[in-house]
Amino acid sequence: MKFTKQHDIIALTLLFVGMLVLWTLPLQSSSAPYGEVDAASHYAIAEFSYAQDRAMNSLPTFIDKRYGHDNKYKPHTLWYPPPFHMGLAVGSVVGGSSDVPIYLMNSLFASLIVLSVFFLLRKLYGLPIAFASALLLLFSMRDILITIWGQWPERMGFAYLPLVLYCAYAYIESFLNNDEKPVYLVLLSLLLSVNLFIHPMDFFHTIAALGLFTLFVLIKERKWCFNTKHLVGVIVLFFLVISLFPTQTLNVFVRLGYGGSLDQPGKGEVGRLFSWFDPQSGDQGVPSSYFSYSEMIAPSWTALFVWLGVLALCMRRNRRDLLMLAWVSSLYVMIHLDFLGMGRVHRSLSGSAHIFFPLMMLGVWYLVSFVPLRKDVKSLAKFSGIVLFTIVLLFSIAPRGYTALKDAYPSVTRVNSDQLALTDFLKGPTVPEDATLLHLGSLSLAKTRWIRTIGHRYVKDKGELSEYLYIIFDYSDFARIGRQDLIEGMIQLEGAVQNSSTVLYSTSAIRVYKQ
Amino acid sequence: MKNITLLGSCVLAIAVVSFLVLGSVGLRTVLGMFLVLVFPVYFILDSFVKDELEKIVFSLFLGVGLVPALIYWPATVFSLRWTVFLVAVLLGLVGFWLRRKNSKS
Repeated sequence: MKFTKQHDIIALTLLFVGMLVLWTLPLQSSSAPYGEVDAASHYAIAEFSYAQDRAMNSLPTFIDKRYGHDNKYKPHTLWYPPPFHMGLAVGSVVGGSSDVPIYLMNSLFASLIVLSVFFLLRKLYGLPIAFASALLLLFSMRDILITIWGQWPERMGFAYLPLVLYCAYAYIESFLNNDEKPVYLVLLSLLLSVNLFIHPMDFFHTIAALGLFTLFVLIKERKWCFNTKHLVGVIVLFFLVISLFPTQTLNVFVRLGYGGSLDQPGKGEVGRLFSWFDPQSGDQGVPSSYFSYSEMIAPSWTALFVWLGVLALCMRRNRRDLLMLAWVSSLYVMIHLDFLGMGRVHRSLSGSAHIFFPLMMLGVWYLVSFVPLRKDVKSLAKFSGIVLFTIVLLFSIAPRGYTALKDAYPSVTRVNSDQLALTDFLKGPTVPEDATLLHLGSLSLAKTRWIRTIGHRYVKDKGELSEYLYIIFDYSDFARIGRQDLIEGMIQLEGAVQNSSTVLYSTSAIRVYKQ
Repeated sequence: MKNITLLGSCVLAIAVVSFLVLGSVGLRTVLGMFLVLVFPVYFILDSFVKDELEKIVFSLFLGVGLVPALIYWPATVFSLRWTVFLVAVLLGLVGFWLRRKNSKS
């Protein structure tokens, strides 16, 4: 079956439309911000930049009080390199508001992996395998959940790995065929720089994959596969580009020293090297289902096809196969760093679906190729096998992916209209910019963080009344969930404060006092 | 640039879906993203990358990653809105200049 460049562009567009329709589902039901605490911090940087019409260098007080020391190299400045948050802010500028555009941009950024997997697989193995893998990735539970929880840059960063590998592959192919194309090394260098800007963990994952691919090719070809002059040039280019944001780039390397040797379970245990991943008992910030293959990726039986894919690659071992093997090996390395006592390795597990779906497709493709059929029938059989496998899998994984997105953060878990009105007051002149407020009546830490983020004031959800000058009595959520007992308890507390305080803001649902 | 009609149709389809899904804000955001972040890089890459799919994908990924990096420092001093506009125009002009230079040589 022959596919043209026009088919590629149409397939790419269909996937982009899929990302647009599916990954914005949480936004389609309500434009109120959502996500766990990390989401609020990412939103804050983009929203504040848009609101002030200036990119921030030093952190504003309400962000600084919580994240002021996250940049270990230069405290009180941005702890992530700015491009990710600037990208969201650009969305706000062109979209003309902060809420919907920031989330829309983030939905697209977080699902970019769908396009990069499609691109790599299209270049290496053709359109059917590429489109089927990317289509399944659209519904990857692990990717969906991490995005709606709020680890936004990490999601986007993974999308650069397949492209960096492709550039290395294209350059090495051209070099070994005596038709050098250094443009691919330049692109590799730029993409790798962006990868570091977006998320350091993903950058190191990419470096591992790139290193392993180079090593595999060197072993296979038994000769050097780079023009050293070009290589030095692109390394210089890489350092030039990353020096655009020196304080954030150096923060990445300073932080490496902080998490270098944690006393983790699995450290030094040889058995750990032969197990994929054990569910973590400690607080990892993720539910136990996060460690389940069947709940996060696909039904257990599909693991057989993943192994078939690996087996097929190991048997054939041409350069494109080595690339895929390097990618899956890098995943293995990254999620076994706990053996050396390094890092929060479960975070790297979030890159597993990106390689598992393509491996499944390769497994199906090669399984069919073993069936004794006429040559012209065999290619049709392979194509049919891919289509059938994809349809079966879509029935299994698409409904839960769709539901997770559609039902993400239902009404009461998001900032309500009373709280939004409060944030308008907080942003005004009455409450000083360096004030710390206690938020009573919070349903969750995340909700308080959102009020802090949108209100541009440092609001906390825990503490003694006597420790705070400003107190928010927020009945809006308790009223919405019908908890009269909690409302009455808070009325008593408010009564104790009322006599010795000044009311700064008062509605039927929320009051703010200055003690 | 050979597939300009097809590319135009694809962008139009994306624009229509953006509008249907998230209204005028969705349309503005997605089209704005293409205009400011992706198209200028596409014009620049047009002079160096021959394969159409590579050009589209690299301009998207470099656009959303590198153009905000170029916007950042000027926007710490000047208006963010104006910087976004100016950087996009400047990159577009660079792309246009490169194309002219290549067509002459």
